[in-house]
Amino acid sequence: MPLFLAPLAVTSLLIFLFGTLLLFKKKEKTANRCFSAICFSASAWLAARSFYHIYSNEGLLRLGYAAITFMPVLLLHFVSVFIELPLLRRKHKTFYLVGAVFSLLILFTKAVIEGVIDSSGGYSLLAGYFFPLYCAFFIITLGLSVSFLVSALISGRFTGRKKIQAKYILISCIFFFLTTFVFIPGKDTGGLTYDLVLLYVSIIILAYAIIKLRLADLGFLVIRALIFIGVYAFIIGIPFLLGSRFRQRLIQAAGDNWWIIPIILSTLLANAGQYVYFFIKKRAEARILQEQQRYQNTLRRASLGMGRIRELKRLLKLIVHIVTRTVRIESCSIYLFHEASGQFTLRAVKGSSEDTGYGILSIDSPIVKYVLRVKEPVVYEEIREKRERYSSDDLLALESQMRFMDAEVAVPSFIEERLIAIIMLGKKNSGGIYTRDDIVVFSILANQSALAIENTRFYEEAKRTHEQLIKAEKMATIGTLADGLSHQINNRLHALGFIAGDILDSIRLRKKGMLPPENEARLFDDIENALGRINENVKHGGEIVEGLLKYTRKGPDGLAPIDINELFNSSLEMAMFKIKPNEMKIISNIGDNAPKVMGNFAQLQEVFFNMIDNSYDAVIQRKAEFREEDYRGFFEFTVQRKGKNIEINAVDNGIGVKTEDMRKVFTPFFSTKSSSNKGTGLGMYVIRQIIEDNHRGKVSFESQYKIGSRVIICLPVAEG
Amino acid sequence: MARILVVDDEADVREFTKSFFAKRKVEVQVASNGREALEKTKADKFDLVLLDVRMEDMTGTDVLKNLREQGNDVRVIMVTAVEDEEVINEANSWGIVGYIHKPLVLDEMERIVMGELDVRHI
Repeated sequence: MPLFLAPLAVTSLLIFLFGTLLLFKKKEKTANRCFSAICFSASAWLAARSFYHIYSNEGLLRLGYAAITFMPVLLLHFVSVFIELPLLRRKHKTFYLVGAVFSLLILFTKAVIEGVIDSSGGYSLLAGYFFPLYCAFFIITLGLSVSFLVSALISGRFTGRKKIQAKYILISCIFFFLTTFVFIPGKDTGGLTYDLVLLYVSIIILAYAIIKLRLADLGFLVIRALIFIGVYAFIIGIPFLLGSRFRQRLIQAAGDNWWIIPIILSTLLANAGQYVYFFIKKRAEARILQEQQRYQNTLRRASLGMGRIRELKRLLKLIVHIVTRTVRIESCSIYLFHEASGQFTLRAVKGSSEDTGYGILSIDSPIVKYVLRVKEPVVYEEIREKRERYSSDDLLALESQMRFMDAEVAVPSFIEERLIAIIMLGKKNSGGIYTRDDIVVFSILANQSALAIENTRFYEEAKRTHEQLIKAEKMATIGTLADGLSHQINNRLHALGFIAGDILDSIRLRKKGMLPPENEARLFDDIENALGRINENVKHGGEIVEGLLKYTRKGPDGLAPIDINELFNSSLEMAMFKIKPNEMKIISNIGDNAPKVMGNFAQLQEVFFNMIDNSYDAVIQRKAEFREEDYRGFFEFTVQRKGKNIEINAVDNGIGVKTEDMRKVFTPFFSTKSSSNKGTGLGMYVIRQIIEDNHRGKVSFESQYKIGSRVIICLPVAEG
Repeated sequence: MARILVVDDEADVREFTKSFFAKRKVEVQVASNGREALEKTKADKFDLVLLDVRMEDMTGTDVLKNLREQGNDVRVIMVTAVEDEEVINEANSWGIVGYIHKPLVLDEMERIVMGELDVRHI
């Protein structure tokens, strides 16, 4: 048996096995049955050719040609099933019939193939009368397949994976078409001719088209295998070539042991071969991986960026942006789980899906139910195919929901078992399909997003708690002012009562004729005076209430340029409801041209109030505990500019803080105040929160027991 | 003619109490703080003192305490904004004839004060 027949036989066997495998695996699909038949027909042809070389039996060769006659018909059948052409389906029988007639003619008559002429290492066909007709049948059948595929592709009936599959099938048909040149009569056909390779490639492409394209790794495998075969065929081929072509010269040069040279050469080359193989493989893979690396790089950058964002709204926008930009898709939307309502709400959108009308996905909508079950991305194409096969109601609902939402892929985002969000992806701009790599990238991105979303949620919750705490503390300080405030307001009312009462009394007395003459004379003046005083008191009362309201109002969020003088005075005004001026002297060294600071008025007011209040309590406490004869408390407030900052010093000569308590000063709920006027224990803590967290400023505290305390605050100066 | 002393840090209260009682032939002297009140009570005799509890320099209770320590047994009515039991108890222990609550309308004030003065004159 000639050695070159081995690959022919092996190919034949492989194709046969492949066809059998497919037949057993997915028998129920017509397309698969067709493909198996294609494999058998090709396998039979190749087998017949190799056996012909061994037995030189023309009958065997005829058997092979009879088998291959069905190949174009099968291919047409396969194509018509694939592109769903029912019209063509009914005409299959005609094509099969014609094919069968030609097969019989080949087998039993000389009408198509007159005979076979042996030639060195091959054979040539002798054409019969019907041979042109046979060729025409071949060409027409194949041409029909190709034209159906092309027109279907052009019409744009195919999308996504189906489109790519169609392309592969088309290429496969064209390869097969090229194979048929071997039929040209009189042409010398050897064992290892190009037609063999073409047929082989044709079948591989077809197989690739049928096997799911989602196995993108198959691309790698095929490329690796090709490189491996190519490199080794070349490397091992060299010594063989040397051995066969230059044997004489080698004998001349090396004598009887000439074969050592090719053997050594092949050993050397085989060793070198692996390096060449690895080199080429690496280069080839790098090319394929380029796109993947681009994704991965973007992903890495994105995850870094996501971690830094603390605002949920901005984070969601960023995720949508990353997805649409890096992968270049038409639309993307994020549905976030809403704890309170127990459903998924649309939180960020980019692209055309804005008008799908799906603002909410309930927990039992098909898509949510499905991702909760499978816990991995759902691809529309796959669902559609699955539905075609199993036709379940769930799949049907899922398919129609995804279609309605224009969603090609739905990527769930989990933290452990909790579904945090669903990211919906629209079509790719390129019209291409989502590969496995894409899906993997999205899964990672989605999980990173889940973490980032949780982070922002925690952060936002912490921020809310923090704001509530500041507010609560402020309300608590108002509590300490209640006594002073009510006294002030009561005094106003009390005065009003007296003013009104006195003048009312005068008028009543006058009516009774009992008003003393001196009062009688200046009655109008008295009335005027009284009403004027009423006005004054109302105004004063109004100011008290206004100050209180200003203090309690949350005020605008965010920072704005603030006048320190105004801030200090309004804080002092509030503090004065509590402070008795003769208990503590207040000295302010602000100056009229102190620069403005960037700050939040309401929050800084709270800080200033707390400082004055703390100092006052410290002064009172020192007075009460030590009863020093000549002690007089003071509070000194100084503002100085230091570069781009303003330094505020608040100094008092109150009781101070003991060394052992110093490190607890900023701890929440810690207080050194005597029980009678104990505050919330949040004053210093809130000062630090407001200054350092909300204003990016700095607070420090110095104190000495029985001497006094100093609070130093640095705040950025407002530009301009 | 009856004489009363009004001790209050509110100018309006002092002025209008004075004006009101003048029409009833009651002489009203005023003091705007505790120190002044003590000076006036030392210098003059009063039938009644209306003493505000909360003042800037010292509390009404302190003034009362001072008065009693000096042996002055003048009749005192405390004027207070908040009903502070501790304050009232202390004042009671030093001897007062009553207390009134701010804010107060004059009619009521008249009733209380004239009542007290009538009792005095009997």
